[in-house]
Amino acid sequence: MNSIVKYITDVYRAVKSLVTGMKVTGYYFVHPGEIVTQQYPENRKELVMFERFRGEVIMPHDDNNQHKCTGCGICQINCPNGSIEVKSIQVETEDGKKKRVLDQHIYHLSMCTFCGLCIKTCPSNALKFGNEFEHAVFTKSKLTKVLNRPGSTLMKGVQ
Amino acid sequence: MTNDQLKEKITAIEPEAVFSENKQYLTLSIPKEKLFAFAEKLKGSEALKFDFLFNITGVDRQKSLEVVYHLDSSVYRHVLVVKTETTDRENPRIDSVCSIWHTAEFHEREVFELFGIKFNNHPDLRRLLLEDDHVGYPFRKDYVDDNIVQR
Amino acid sequence: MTELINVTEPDKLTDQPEDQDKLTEQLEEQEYIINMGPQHPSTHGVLRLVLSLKGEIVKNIQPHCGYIHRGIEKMCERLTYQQIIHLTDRLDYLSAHHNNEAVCLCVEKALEVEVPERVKYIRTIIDELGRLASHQLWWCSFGMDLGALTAFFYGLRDREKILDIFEETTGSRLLQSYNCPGGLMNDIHPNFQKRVKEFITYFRKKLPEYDELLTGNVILMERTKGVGFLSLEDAISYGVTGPSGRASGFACDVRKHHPYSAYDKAEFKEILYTTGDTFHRYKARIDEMWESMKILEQLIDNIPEGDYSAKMKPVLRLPEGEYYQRVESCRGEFGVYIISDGNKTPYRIKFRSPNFSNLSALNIIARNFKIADLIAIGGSLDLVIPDIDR
Repeated sequence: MNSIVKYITDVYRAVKSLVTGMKVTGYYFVHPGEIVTQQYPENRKELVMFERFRGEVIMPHDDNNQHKCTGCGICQINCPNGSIEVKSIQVETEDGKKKRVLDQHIYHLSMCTFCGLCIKTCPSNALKFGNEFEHAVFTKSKLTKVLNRPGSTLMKGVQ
Repeated sequence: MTNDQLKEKITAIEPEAVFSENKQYLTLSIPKEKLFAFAEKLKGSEALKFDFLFNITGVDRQKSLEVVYHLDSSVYRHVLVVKTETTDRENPRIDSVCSIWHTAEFHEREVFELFGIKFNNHPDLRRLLLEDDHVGYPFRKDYVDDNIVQR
Repeated sequence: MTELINVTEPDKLTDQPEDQDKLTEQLEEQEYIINMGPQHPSTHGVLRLVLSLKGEIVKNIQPHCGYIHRGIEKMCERLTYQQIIHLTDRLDYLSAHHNNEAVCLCVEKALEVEVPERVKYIRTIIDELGRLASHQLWWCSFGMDLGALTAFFYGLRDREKILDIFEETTGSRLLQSYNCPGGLMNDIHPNFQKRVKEFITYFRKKLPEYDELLTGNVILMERTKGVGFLSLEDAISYGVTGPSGRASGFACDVRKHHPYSAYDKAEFKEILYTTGDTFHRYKARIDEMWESMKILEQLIDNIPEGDYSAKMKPVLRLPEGEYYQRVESCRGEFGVYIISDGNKTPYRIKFRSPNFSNLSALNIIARNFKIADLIAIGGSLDLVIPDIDR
């Protein structure tokens, strides 16, 4: 007799626990407004990333095609993975002095771990994190980028 | 218990322990022959009760190979660092503490494959992380590998 | 290793039923070796378990790890202390911030730098948010290990909110690298406090759903209660820490017993259970989520004003000596042991990873249970493989 009572209570409890769970799923079935799924990539146009999002390292240029990088190479020293190469050249300024300026700021996105040390240590704030996150390409070489634009010069007043 | 009180109690059970300077934890070194008996006393003693071994580190000191044991007590919450070393780099051997703290089994296997220190009486001294045909002990300072980038 | 299977007179056995019965009989007497992994969904990563089975009963488990051994400790010997931080993210990726913090605290201790109070509070808050996110992901995957797919979506829905908070303040969702020796990379976002408070009110409503969906469920109860015992002595001896250890009654909460950052300013309970079976390991994590929310509520309104970083030199040289720092990561006690010889790179750095010790206890926990229970036990230990392999 006892075993029958136990069997029935067990079945009752089991069914009850299943119904409790079903109640939660049922609630969301009739409340589709609470569903939070985003329709990516359909929502690409209105998708806004957070301002600090670490997508890639970029070098902002102003309207006159000028950047702030002096070519000092501190970011290259601080990068733990060797994903930055700074190539600078010696040029002669108008008053006859020799000066080092940036030739190419090469950034290997394929090796970058987004630790942010280059941006933190840059003395002239020339680098910044960009919000682009769709980096898929067919060849690895496309992930090697030159950050300074062709023909760009150093912004006035940056030492 | 402060470090000074702890020091007194440990000197009482093992007068040969050499204490070294450390601001944080009480640190001592012990000859490798005495390690196992000392470890047994540390766990067995009612006043010390070091029953939780939370870390074993292998260190290559160039002249010698060192093993560092970090011990904690789940009752008294005091911490002790025990060091032992061997100068034999060709065939280093240190007693295993597996039978006292079971967690040592994995930690010693790791030290064995990365530093080449063999642990006596270890139940299952095999490689753990590296592949079976790996040559050399990669965490030693004199290990050379062409794939290591010089900076 | 057990002996290989030997079938006596294999040539004489045919496809006839009586001969097949004889073969089955012979096989059942011997132990059967089976490889679980390295690519098995329930090991949550690349871990290979070599199981000795007797019928359906697991007799012995030999873990083979190292499939993603990257030699992080060796790599760190060539990097400066600032550069080490981003590698520690990649140990236990679900408690990335805890690992960062451990290295930072260790370096700060060595340099005797006093970090601003604000930093301590922010670090603690992000620690607890990380713990919530990690436990939510564990809850999802534990449900999925046992065949409850619905739970997966509910857990990830709530985790998304935390990841958004992380993304807004730290810039990354998973591997934050938000700490640096001396403080933080940048100050918290102006929205941070508001969003955390919103999240707590939201999650206080949603956490009871977890219990309704899974905890009380009859299938989960049957599969976890009385399965996979770990006694207190074994938990201490095998060094099983974190919620898994506390389910066996091992009071090992570093936050409580060796407080760091702002944990001494918050009131919280150390969750302790006594049985040490799979169900209590499950319950310990659910209860820990409630405690984490309590800590968050106490700290979020009291973040003091001040700098987000102490003044540090650009090149850090640790004085000669040895330094150890313990923190409570999501899976147990994480430790950093730095031996410095006065240079700008560590002479030797060792990470004490919680999963490494927790894995060593798997053999005694799952022995003599069925192979299906091994999945439940492995899920309840919440192993993260990169942390084991380092």
